[in-house]
Amino acid sequence: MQLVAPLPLQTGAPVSTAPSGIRPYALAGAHFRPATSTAVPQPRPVYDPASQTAKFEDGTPLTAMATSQKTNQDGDINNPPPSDEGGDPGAFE
Amino acid sequence: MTHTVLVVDGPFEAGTDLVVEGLSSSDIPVFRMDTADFPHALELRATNVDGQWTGTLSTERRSVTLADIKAIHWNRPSLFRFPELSESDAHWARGAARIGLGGVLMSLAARWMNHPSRASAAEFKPLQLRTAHAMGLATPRTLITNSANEVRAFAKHIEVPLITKPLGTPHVAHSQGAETMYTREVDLDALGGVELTAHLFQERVPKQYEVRLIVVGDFCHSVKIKAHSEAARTDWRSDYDALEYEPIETPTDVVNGVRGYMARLALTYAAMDFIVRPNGQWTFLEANPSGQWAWLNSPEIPLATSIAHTLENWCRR
Repeated sequence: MQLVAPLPLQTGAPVSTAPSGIRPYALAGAHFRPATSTAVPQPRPVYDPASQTAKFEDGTPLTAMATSQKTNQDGDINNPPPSDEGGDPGAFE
Repeated sequence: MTHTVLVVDGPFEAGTDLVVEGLSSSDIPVFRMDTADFPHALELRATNVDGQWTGTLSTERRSVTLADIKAIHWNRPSLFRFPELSESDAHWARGAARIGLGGVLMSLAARWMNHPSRASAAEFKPLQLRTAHAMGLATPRTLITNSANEVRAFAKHIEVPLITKPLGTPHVAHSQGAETMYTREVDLDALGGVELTAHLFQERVPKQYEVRLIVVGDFCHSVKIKAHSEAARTDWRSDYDALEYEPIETPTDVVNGVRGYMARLALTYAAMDFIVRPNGQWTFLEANPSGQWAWLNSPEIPLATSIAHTLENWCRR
């Protein structure tokens, strides 16, 4: 039995229109944050191939985790918070 | 020959930036790449002669000789992208890239933090709990099931309250918004939906405080998490603003158990979570082989330096 799927790993999670009438138990107590189209998008960082690191345009380094504040902060459901609990480790299993 | 650290990650990872900055202050070269760079911004030339892979990995700006790579820091690289191909062709091309580029990387004579195969296998919580217990670490009584009746029977048997936590990623998004799952108490009268997939239930371990233990090679960096809100006391991930951090000593028996765990699962890095009971006993909860550490990094908790030094040392041997 293949427990670890070779593909697709490290892809974005799908975003469906709405949940169906039944949902897994684990989601019953989840914290919901509504999507919004009026929020101002957060600035996106820029990767510098010279230093091999990324920064925001004003020179600020990237923020590490702090999920409670960063979850869906710009209202874009396709911009999830950084993974803080492991997650899949990459394209090669 | 110039021994080099290969860093494989997406371009926007704060912790990896700290490691690269730490490595840049040494004389060990760093070559950072993302698997998503291949094939458009990353060229592979690998030849097998007499059983050894020789050749280069190159970007527009730099190149590394495969034989020079002696340490690999592998975090969360992105999937190969082939936007110009049909989805069918792209699926095939991803597989070819995985076997070709991935296969060459995996056959290098280098040490890994972590080897992706080992990290992937170590993601499974059931294996984590079994391994931790086998290595002498205390573990909570745990049930994984899709049966609500079994949850009630388990609760009756162990005679303590239960908590539940998600198996797998804690985030789900629909068009109306995003949901995040945290550890929560279990109401035995409201177990609808347990039957829809696997769920984890665990005895609620009495808690003095929690610890995140970052393992880098042989070193254990334990950080006491001081929770100052009710939400954070149940699951510190739910309220980062209410947290303070303090580096603490790791008990010798825990160090020994952790080292056994890392050896058994062939890991060189892990972010482990423990509950410290009121009597001082450390209880293992989980170990994430790609878990975050950067938000804890500070002069008092020099995790980036520890990771960078370990990778450097692998290159100097």
